[in-house]
Amino acid sequence: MKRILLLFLAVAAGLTALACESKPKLHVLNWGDYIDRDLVERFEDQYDVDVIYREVGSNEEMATLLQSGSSTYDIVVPSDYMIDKLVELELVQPLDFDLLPNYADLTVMPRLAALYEDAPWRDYVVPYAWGTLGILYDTTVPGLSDHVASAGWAALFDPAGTYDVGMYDSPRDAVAAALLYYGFDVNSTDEEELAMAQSALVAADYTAWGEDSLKSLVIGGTLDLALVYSGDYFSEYAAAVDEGRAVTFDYFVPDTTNVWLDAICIPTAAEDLTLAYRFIDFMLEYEHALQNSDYIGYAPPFQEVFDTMTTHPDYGYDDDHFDPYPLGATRQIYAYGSDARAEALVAILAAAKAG
Amino acid sequence: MRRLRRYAIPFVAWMAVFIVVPTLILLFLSFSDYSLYDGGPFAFTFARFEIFAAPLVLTAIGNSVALAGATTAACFLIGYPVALYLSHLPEKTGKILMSLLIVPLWSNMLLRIVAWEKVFTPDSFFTDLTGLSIDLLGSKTAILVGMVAMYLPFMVFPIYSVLEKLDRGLVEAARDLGADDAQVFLRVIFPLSAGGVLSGVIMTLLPALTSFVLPARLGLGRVPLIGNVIESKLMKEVLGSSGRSINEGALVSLSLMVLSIVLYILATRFDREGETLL
Repeated sequence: MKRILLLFLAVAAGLTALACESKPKLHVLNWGDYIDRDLVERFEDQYDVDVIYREVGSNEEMATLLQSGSSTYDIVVPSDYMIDKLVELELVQPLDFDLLPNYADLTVMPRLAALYEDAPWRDYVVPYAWGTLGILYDTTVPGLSDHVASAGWAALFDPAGTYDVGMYDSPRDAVAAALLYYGFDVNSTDEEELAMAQSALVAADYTAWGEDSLKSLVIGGTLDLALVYSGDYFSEYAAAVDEGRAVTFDYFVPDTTNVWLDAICIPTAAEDLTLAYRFIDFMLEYEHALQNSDYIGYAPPFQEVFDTMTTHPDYGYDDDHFDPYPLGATRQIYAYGSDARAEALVAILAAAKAG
Repeated sequence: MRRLRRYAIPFVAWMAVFIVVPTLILLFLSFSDYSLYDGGPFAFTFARFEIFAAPLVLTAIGNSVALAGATTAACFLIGYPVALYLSHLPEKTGKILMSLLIVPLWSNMLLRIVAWEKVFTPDSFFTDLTGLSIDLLGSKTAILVGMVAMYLPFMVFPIYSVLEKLDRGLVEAARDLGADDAQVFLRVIFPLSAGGVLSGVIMTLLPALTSFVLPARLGLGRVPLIGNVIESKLMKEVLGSSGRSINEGALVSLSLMVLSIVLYILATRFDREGETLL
């Protein structure tokens, strides 16, 4: 027994020695391929620190990592509804904007700011990127462009099964699409409305349930259309242009849709607050914000950066779908709602998948 | 032996920390309403067993059993003749062909799954090469083909290792005593290789039962398996269910572990010496 204990101590001492020998560390939890690594390296050089960067694929994974506390993070970049829940669980802390001097030099786009100005998490975030929920479709299918444009959300809920349709394998997004199809609010808690959403999802009998696989299924020809995030479209569009492939797909955004917003937060358990604020402020420097938004390719939350990206000849983001909130459109942003509602969403998805 | 024992301490410590303790946690979560992240008071309960009545879970169990069973059967039907053939080759040739079976295992499994995904796309590189369009994504056939390709080597190895060691003298003796080819195979070779077959069946059945990436990608999420249920319970539903989904996921995982252990015990009973188990 003593030996085992000694061994444990030896290993623990070794690990501690390893951990202590180097520079201060900043632990960042973010989505895959969602930051310009050059900027991270520059930050490391400038402040002589190590950035430990971990990538995840979903908000739920992020929350699970924060909740389990198996390791601590100083920076995390979740989306709207998850921030809402993380605030409720006190897993993220309110930001001290005085420590972010560069934030004052940038203006959050007014239409975006309006979407979350009443949200309980308003003072916990620095917005990072935003976009829409929409329909990705194969433009080589005869008549499909017209059909999607005229039917809108209904194109995803055709019980006749004329087309091969893919649906996001995420309770919140699938149900939101169904609610939008009926013209209800994406955050509806009305049981009747949710029941209608469930029937629509069951009746649609989707060809595929996927996540980031949906975009390649549409482009590969397995699917004709699918519910996707604007980010899915932009990344495929950029890839096609870079590789010199023909763009055989397009993205349709119905007049009323959901806007997603990813934002930088500081977890309550963060260990190095000074460094965390430095990192956020570094990313908020105009040149850095511009470089990063250009790298990830989604709409930037700041007016100044947005204007440069859409009007400056060096960038040329003049795509029709680039502005997530054009004039004349209606946009809704997710709220977490109650646990009971989240559970209901899971049940609706399970029913839809079981057929 | 006693003197060697201390060298096992790192291993024992490793097992204790990373296998025994997690299993105990799994057991505890399965039979209690303890909320892993929120803590607080808890009571022991069998209520989590309700999960086995949920339609999606029942579908998933059915799919898993059917697909894992079919995969194992197909692997056996394809794998046994392969192993038999390899065992009859001169040692060098046999080793080379065997390594051809092993080399694909060195590549990442996800890459192999994505490769199959591309093959099963209506307009793939495969179509360009052969003119054939195989639009199988989303079907059980696609999952079955993918699983067989993935797990076939695990059926071949143990059978091959038994057949390779088989005493040729026994086969010659059988022939001398007048047995024909079929009798030699059915009454001598096959019974002597049964241990390898059993190992092969376990090595194929268990990963097939628990796979979740492969059915999600090749089945387009339309064919849920039990692995997908666990993934969803532990990774996707956690926040929305006040933590309960973790207990449910733990129970489903535990049930699979129990099944594995039962199969393993059956196997060691059958194959007392245990030498064919990898």
